Amino acid sequence: METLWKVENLRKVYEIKSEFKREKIVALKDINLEIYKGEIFGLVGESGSGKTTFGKVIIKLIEPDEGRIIYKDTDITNLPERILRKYRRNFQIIFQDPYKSLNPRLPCGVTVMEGIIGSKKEKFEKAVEILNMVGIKKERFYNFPHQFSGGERQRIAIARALSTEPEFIVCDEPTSNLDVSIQGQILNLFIELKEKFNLTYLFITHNLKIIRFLADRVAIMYKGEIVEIGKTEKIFESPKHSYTEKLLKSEI
Amino acid sequence: MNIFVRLRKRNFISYISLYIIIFLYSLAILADFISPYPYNKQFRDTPLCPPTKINFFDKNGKFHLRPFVYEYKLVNPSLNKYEIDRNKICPIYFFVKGERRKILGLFPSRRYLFGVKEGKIFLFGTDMHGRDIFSRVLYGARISLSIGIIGVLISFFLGFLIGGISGYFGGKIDNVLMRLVEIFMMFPSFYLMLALRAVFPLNLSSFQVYLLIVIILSLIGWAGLARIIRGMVLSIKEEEYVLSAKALGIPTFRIIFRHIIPNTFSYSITAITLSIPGYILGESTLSLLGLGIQEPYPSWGNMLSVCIGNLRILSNAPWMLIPGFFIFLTIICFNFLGDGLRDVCDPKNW
Amino acid sequence: MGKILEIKNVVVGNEEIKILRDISFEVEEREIISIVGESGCGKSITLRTIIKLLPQNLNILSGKIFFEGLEITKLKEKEMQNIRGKKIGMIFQEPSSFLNPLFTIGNQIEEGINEKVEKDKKKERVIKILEEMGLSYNVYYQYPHQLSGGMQQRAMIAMALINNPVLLLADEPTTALDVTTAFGIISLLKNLILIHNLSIIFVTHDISLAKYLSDRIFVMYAGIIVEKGPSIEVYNSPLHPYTQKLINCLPEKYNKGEKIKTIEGEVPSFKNLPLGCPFSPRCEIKNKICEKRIPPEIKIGNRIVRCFKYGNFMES
Repeated sequence: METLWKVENLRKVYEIKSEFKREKIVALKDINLEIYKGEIFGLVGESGSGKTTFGKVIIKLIEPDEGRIIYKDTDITNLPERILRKYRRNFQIIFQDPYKSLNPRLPCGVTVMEGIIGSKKEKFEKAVEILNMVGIKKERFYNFPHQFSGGERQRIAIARALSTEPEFIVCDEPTSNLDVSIQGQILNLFIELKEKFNLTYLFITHNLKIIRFLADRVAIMYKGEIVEIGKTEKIFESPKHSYTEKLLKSEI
Repeated sequence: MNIFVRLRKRNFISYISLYIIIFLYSLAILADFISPYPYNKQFRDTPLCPPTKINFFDKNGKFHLRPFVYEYKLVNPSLNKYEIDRNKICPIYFFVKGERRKILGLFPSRRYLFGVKEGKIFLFGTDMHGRDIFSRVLYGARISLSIGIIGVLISFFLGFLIGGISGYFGGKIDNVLMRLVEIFMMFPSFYLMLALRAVFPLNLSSFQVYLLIVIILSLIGWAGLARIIRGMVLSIKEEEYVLSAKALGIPTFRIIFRHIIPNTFSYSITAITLSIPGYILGESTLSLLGLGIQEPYPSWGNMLSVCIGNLRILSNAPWMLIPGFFIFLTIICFNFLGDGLRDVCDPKNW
Repeated sequence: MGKILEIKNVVVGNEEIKILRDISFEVEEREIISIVGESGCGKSITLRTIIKLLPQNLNILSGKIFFEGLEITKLKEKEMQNIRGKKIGMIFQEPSSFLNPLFTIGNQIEEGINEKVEKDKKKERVIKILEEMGLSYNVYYQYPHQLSGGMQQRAMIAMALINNPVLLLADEPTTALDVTTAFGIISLLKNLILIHNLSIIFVTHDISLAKYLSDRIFVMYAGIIVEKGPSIEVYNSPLHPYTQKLINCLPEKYNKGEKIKTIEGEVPSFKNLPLGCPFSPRCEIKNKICEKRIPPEIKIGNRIVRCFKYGNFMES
């Protein structure tokens, strides 16, 4: 299997400064892992375990403090933003809250157009095509985010991510703010798009049911560390780490 | 839907305010044409003359289609007592001929919008030098209303630039710029205003003083604004839609102008309209202290300043306070307009 | 077992919209009821109707609510205050926004004690209930920000139960919590009904959680309770087409790579509800009558369903 991402000894420390004290919070503690091309890699952990930070660090939306991030054969850890910009189109991110991840002052079609390269007409036609693919009709091209429902906004966020024709998408809890019936639609869409565009996902969630349904491999994160990593079925059948056990037991 | 329609639907008071403001500004622009007399024309024989009444019926009860005024005669100069001479009817005409001047400094003309051929017309009365207050209010509007707009533009330019840079890049730049802002904010603005004015010589021309006041007021105004813009930029740049834009590989300046700045509008548009009154008042304060626009050129502020501490004027000639009413009207309209614009500029309300 | 709460044909709304339409149910002693539905179906409004804390623009238009045999629909605000907090407790999704950051937990719980007792006795009682919630003695002296989300929720429950109410209304209390923490809270609630002689109405969007926790499930859709019945029966063999489809949306019902059968269309907004059964626009087995009339409650064994599919309506 072709390795798409290789992460070595990744470390990120947040410093909280206030008038009275300085606190250091270790968000990522020496993370090592590989993500293969074409797989859905699940990342599970509770809030504050550093899973969202990892999703942002791997595509360099946040700078890591130590360690290396290797995309295909390129070490992108210390690339200047100028050069990194060319790579950025290859990996995209979809956030949890579709109410926050769309610019409230841009019509949705325009948001999608931003990622497309070409003449104005090409941009428009491509954006219409992508929006149509995720189930948003052309008539609503110039509607603003607040005119869409939560599920529709998440579709627009997916369309924006697809607009650069990426090969890797970080999905940061993309369904946890959605209703069950909408969640099903979005999960179907993810699977459909993966097959169509040969995508690789890093799927971050705390919902074990989704992981079991979706992920090929899974990593369990606890307090900034990856405590267990492996094939999904294997981890769900015979968890090794005590935290994983506790997690699986809590599943209702 | 354009902004006017939206404003009317959303917030009717601010819609009306907008029209009042437009009306006031057009009065200021057309001051040379509308005002019946030049701002510095003195009628020495009628100081502190009360506002002239416009009549349609003469003393015999006869109706005149063309409105007319009576002549006012000063009967007791020491008590400023006027008597109306009801025998002499002075009809009001449109486009009367008067002294030659250039409208907007461009078109030479002798025609005035309205006026009387004999006698005098003082819609708002006269001041102690016998100058027509109505004309002076119109000329004064030029100063008072433009000072707000120009001052706001300068201070918002500075505020957006410095606050934006500070918030977006953060780190050392932020530190240095914010300390600079704090230095400006540290001084009480009133004394800073006085001090800055004191640095410059007193015998400047009206235009130089005007420029000076605008600069002084914007220098005081930008700091607070920069701080708030910085705070907003700081929080907006962490928003997920900005991160997404970054992930799309959009260049930095485009992110700032397309995703960050427009999202500060909900605040900044209100702030812009709400700070215009501050400039008008600032100019008035300086003028009140005799440091603003100098006589004979009028501004609303220096017209009011004459009344301060002069009880005789306040009790005998209350029409001298009319410029104050215009300041009040402008400020309240800008306040309503600010409220309305904030609603209208938010796509959620469309 | 006696009835604690009885709601009869309650309609809530205003001149323009009806949020709740013809809601009726009973709550027995020591029973856990779950109201399940998607966002905007009116499940939170149902809870707020029971304690008469509706948003300003909404009113109870018709119907009756009996609490311990007393009709509370007619009670004045002052009399309601004696029931709220004392007889009916309530907990919410975001405990952090319901705890005052400026006072200690102990302080805030003590404040809720209604009887006039000495300070020491109050403190004793608060500490006892905190310990019952699985919190340590120290929490009494701590401020809300010093507690984790799970601990805050436990403190909220302690606050709701300090006056030994007979009914606890829980509005998605575990939604904002992590899986392991949520599990702790759920287990706690299950134990509480035995110790405190308590009934719980639990509002959630998670039907698996409802099945695990509660005795009976009410499924709500667009302001109507479409199905009522014992949890396991509702979950395993749902009667109403909506419940069937909702359960079919759950990813745990599918193997990897399968396509999830979703519900087409969207939840109708309260401003333009369909004339008949609110689910009819998305229903695959709808009939002419479904679009004209709202189905009545049809009793099938110990379950109640509102669908024309059952009974002899389809032919007519």
